[in-house]
Amino acid sequence: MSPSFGRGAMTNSWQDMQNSEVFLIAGSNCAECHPIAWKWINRARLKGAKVIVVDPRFTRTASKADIFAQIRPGTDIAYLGAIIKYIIDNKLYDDYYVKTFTNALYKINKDFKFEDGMFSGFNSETKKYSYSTWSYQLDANNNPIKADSLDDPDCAFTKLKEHFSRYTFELAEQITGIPAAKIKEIAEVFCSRRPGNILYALGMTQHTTAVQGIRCYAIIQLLLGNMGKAGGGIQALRGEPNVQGSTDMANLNANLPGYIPYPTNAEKTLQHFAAKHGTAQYRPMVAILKAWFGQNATAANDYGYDWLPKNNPANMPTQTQFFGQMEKGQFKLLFNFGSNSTVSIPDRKIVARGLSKLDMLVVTDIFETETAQFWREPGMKPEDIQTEVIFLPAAFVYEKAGTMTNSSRLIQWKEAALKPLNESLPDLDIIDLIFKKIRELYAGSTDPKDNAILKANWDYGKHADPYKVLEEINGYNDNTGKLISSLAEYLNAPIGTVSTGCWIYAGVTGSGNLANQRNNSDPTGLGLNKDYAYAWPGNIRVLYNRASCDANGQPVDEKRKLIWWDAAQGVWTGYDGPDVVDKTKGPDTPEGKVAFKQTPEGVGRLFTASYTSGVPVAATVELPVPTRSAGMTVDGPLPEFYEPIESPTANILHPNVQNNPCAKIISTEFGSPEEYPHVLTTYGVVEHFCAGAITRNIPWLNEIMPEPFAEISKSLAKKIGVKEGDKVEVSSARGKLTVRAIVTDRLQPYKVNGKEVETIGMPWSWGFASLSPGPSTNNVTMAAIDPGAGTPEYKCCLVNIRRA
Amino acid sequence: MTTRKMVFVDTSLCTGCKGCSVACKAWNELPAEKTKLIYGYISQDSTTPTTWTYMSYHEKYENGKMHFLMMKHQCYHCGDPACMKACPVGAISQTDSGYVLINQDKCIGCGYCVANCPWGIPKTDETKNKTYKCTGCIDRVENGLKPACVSTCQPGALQFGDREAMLQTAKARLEEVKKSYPKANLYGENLMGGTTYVYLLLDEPEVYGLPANPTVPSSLTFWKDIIQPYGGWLIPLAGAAAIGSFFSTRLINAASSKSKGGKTHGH
Amino acid sequence: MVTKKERVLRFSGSARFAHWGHTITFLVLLISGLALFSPSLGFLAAIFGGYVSAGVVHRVMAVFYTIIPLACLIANPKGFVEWWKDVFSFGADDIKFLMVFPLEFFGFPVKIPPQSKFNGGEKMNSVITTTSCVLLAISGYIMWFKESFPIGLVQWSYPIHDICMILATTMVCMHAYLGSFHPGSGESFWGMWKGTVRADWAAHHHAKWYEKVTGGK
Repeated sequence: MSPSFGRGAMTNSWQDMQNSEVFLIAGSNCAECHPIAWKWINRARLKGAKVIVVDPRFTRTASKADIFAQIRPGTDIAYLGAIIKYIIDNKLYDDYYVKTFTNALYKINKDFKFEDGMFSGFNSETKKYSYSTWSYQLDANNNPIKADSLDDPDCAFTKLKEHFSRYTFELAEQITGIPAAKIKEIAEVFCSRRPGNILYALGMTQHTTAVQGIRCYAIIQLLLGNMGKAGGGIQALRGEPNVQGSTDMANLNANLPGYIPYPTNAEKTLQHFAAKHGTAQYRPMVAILKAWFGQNATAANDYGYDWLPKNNPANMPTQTQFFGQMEKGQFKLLFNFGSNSTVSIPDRKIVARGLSKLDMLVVTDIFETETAQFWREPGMKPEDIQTEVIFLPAAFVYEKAGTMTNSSRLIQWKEAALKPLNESLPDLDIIDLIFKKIRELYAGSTDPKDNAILKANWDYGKHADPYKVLEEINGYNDNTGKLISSLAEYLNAPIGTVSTGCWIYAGVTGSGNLANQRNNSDPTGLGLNKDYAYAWPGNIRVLYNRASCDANGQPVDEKRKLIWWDAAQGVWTGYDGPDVVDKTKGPDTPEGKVAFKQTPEGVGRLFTASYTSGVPVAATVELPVPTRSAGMTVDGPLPEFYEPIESPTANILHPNVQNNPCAKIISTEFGSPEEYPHVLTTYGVVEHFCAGAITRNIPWLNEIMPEPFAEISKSLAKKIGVKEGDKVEVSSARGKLTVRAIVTDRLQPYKVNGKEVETIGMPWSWGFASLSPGPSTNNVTMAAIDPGAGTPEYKCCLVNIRRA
Repeated sequence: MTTRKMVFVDTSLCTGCKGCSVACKAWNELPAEKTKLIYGYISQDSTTPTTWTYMSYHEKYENGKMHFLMMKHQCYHCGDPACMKACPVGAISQTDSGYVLINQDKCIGCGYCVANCPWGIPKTDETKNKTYKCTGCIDRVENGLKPACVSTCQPGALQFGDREAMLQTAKARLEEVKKSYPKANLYGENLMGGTTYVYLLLDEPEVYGLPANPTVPSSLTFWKDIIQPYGGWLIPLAGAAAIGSFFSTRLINAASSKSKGGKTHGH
Repeated sequence: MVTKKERVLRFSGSARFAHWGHTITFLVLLISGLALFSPSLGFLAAIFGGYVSAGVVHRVMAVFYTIIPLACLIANPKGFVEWWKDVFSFGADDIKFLMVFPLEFFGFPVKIPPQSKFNGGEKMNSVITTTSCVLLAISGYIMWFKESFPIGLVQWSYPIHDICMILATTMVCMHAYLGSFHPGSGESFWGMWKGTVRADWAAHHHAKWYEKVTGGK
């Protein structure tokens, strides 16, 4: 979403779902896995909203849908492409919106090409694209040249139209297994009711084409004018309660908190960094360095930029990849906080192999997880494993204070309700104690690389106080000596005079602990709940809400109005916080038209062109500093369908380019459709949470979901001679496991390229330890990751099944 | 006199998350049982002494369209509870609010209620000799809280309130739901004297494995309304006849021996 | 003419064992079970230390209650056959007996037709008691192991158990009285206690049977 809109977060809120007229829920089983989402969807349903569910299985969510389509796992782009074509062909797009708030009219570089499944600029050696041709035609002032009409042959809209012209309903049927008529019905229903809302979760992201699938959503919502509106948007339902918070705090290896690009060894100085990423990133970089190094960070020493370790782009393994590196000896020590990789990583045998080669493994968790005792797994040889394993008991969620940031970017403060049991400690205390000890051990060192530890600004009290951490994240203003009071104060202060540990959180503690607000009132009935906790950025509940207004700055939907231009006062105002560049710049000014201020163009990007905006503004460094560069989709400026790494069929769009050419493949064993004819898709169940480290140790949850299973259709059951409750062995080229079979009509065989294909569904939350052990589905899954997001392709691989 | 309460179970909103099962166990401090998958996602298919509510799923595949129905089961808290009638020791009572409760001090675990409940809800713990079932969270309700299952239900499939008002809600909802599910019906409004848990079902009760017309078993009526109150008198009657005979035979004998100087029967 | 000293064997050892075994188990079952018949009889449970132990006693007794007649049936099937043959040879004399019995019961002088081993009343008692007891046992076991039976059967077992209990108890009252304190019963009690009865009593009360066993001597 970030390359399309500028921010990579759920655009609306949970409560806002009650405002929708239609939902496309594809890649999410939210009735099961996000019950709170479903609560609000139900409110919309009670008002007449329609629900469309596309899923490889008839889920509990599907049971409530008005339209359900069973799709072959990993083929979403094919039917979404057909919907995009349908919107364009039938001129169902919002003309004003598309021309005003997207880059539809922007002229694309004439050298841009898409031929036989490949975009221009591919380097087959590095398996990476060069973005040089994915660019705009620029004028002398570095501004993209705009076409006069959407029919211009060079404009992004035409590129989009041409690209998707191949995606007919019939082609989509061939690929996805969904009947063409059903895809048409989905397209009709979704386009005829606005605002329409799209919800997705891991069903869309756990593919080697993850980012491009979401790009299809972005294109559909931009075309229909559903972005920035109450009841519209794209909702990324995160996999865990605080995943948004952890992403905000940089759980991705290419980020610093607040989505600042992590400096690489190419950006040797702060000036290099500023030159590459623009003031938009330079400002928060200085602020975070000031937060991290405190008094030690000065303009004279580049705010301690040198002390920050730099990334090596040639060697930046994501979680799925680093176990392989571990096996090769790259890592000596792994600190493992609250992650149960032994269960959760695809083709999971790579995990134990990697962990076995460490000098030391520290696991912090509330239960002794499979990862904490990986050497105990049947088949392992503990006598050959030299890894020293240390287990640190952690406090449970209710035993520690702090914030959690949910999918709708809502930062919520909580107090500890209970004292931690026995020796267990909150994570913060554990980290605080370790850091203090490490700093003690490094005291007096003159080695420059130790500066990061010695110069760090680390004072959260004798017993680390999480509120002090949140204040550091909020940031301080050197001029006032006080906490930053709002996001605007941070943005308007001269660079180098403010600190913030995560700039998007600026203002959260500026006037008291806003994350602790609990006023649940909702005077608008739109579910904005402005005085309940604090949503980043700037407590805006519906992102890009400028797009909900017309050319005069007035709401296009009176029933769902969020913000408007108050001409008398000369200010943007409204029920929600206006997501505008400058509240005082009216709709007739260039700034007042910008709805997507986090992109360099200020518009939503149908075509994710490579672009860096602007010419130098007042910068405190000598080098010219552009303002902002675009977020990129590394595998193409437009979404293209590629088959999953293991697929039962050839890619009928371009047989020579079967898979995403940029995908990073980690697994080394692959199965053929002849040997492994069925498609496996994996998922969670409502009764267990992720790798089950917590939930498999809660007897009440084990009671209601006691064991893993494989869901199969009645026809497949008949074929392999299995009935409900029998044990079956599911195997792939990478491994196998035996579980109970559920024989159901909720899965049906379907035709792909004229061939009948069966999908098998399995939950993955089990492992060999806990109160309720069970075989792990990740024995068989595929470790191949999306080149942009790094998410593994858990959702599809080829398997065989037989009676056990 | 408090008004009658009702829980409206709107299965059209239920997502089968089993949150109600866990909330019930948590509030009532009931232990988990060792289970396995029975079929589908079902690991519990009846109540037990320590499982007072559970979820069932029903699959129906018709004309290429899948129907995946789900509902929560627990004590219905009948207006005319068969269990209460069957209880030989007066352990089961009914509150003005409509709750049917087992007094555990009085319960002897005989299981008469178990056999006579049309849904087979109460279950006897044979080691404790006590019978258990959903209490409707009377301890919460009497203190102004909603039952645990209702307060935990995220999709809003469970609603709690005064029976009259809830029935209005239920009927309005039925009209709406009928547009998409013509066979939708309210289950419990008039059954068994009107139940406290009233369901909006999307299909006929049989599809959910429910009796369409649960009634107080005629055997129970015959037993409790005829045999026990009247039949029992036969025994004292026989006793009385024997006592009467004891005296009359001797009186008649005495009278006849006076007149005849001998006994009628020889020994 | 028979003398007063002469005795004839009326009930074999196994028959007497069956009778008294049945009597004891029935009475214990009755007392332990009545507590559940009506809440007003709840005090009876206290005899056994409460409902739960009364229930245990009831079940243990129920086992003996079923084993004893079955064991006797197996040990002495001939005796049972004879009993049933006699019971089911219900003739005009038996009907006559039953017609005059109420008068006889209350002490009015009546002429009793000649009776076989069991008189009409005893035959009726045999039929009602046996039927009731068999049904009591069956319904009781169904109630005990209700999970193994269709629910309708279980539900009907409760009233059937009660009806049979009422009938059987009514019969027990009459039978016990007639066998002990009724003026005309005197010797019948000894028949079941010692096994033999006075020959003259037998000749008078059960003329047909007496003829048969003594060969008309």
